[in-house]
Amino acid sequence: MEQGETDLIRRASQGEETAFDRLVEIHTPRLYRLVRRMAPDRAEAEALVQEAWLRAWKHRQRCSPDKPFFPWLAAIALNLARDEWRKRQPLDFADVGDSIDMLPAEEASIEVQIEAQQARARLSRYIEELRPEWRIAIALRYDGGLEYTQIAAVVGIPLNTVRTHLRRARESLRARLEADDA
Amino acid sequence: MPESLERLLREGPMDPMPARLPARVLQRLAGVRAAERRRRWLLDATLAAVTLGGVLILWPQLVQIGEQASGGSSAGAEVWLAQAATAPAQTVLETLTAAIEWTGRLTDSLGIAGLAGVILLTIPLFAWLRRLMPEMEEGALA
Repeated sequence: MEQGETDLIRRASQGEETAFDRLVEIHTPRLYRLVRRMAPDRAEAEALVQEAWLRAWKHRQRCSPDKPFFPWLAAIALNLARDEWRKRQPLDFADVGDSIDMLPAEEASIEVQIEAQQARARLSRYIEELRPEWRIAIALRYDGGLEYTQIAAVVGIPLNTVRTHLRRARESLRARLEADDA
Repeated sequence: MPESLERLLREGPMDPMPARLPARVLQRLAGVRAAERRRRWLLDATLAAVTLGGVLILWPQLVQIGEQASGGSSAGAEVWLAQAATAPAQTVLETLTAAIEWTGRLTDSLGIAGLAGVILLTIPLFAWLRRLMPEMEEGALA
């Protein structure tokens, strides 16, 4: 964690609005990416992001400058996402990513780009169909960029369980992608 | 495909973050903060009014307290200071004993209105003290 961010977190936890707003600007893209994996569509992902920040502001005094900020924020977002899942039983697996205007920046052929898009779309759908605990582990690891120990702390499960969830999630995803290729 | 799973996972979800999302978050935060400020201002105004009411009700007793504290005149305070300089422990003991006796007499003479005044003064005191304390943990985060 950078010194500048430590200072921002300290000031934000003391209620300094400009410091908190700077944290919003820094962490919203990563938070959206994480939440998007857990939300069925963009609208809900946006709503969750906004609600997570409002809750973070409300509980800003609990945020410790000695610890990384994002896992704390991710825990808030995760709790909100879980609440939404509970409300929506059985799980809604709607809305696979549908934007086709997000082509990779590298110079690849149209065919390769379309193939990559399709692979990402399939992967997104398969992730949405994973068991919730595996999906959370994948989102926190790959979209939130958290360490295994941080995931364990955020979700409140043992480190070995995190490893198991991630391994099984990857095995499941790999099997489904291989089946598509076959 | 299996070897590219890690890469695909790291690329993230299909749709990018809406560019206006951070601005929308900041806009909602501004609204929440404005509401917080209004609530706090209203609470402070109410507490100030309650405090004023308590002071007005207790005014006769407060005047009496002032007189007792000064011993009726500045000469009393000078005597007390002189005694405290020569025999501090004895003076403190006598002062505390006198204060306890005086509190007992004051409580007896307060009456219903006086008690109401004390309550009116106590409520804002606790409300302001509560604000000074750090937020309590309420079990699991958020």
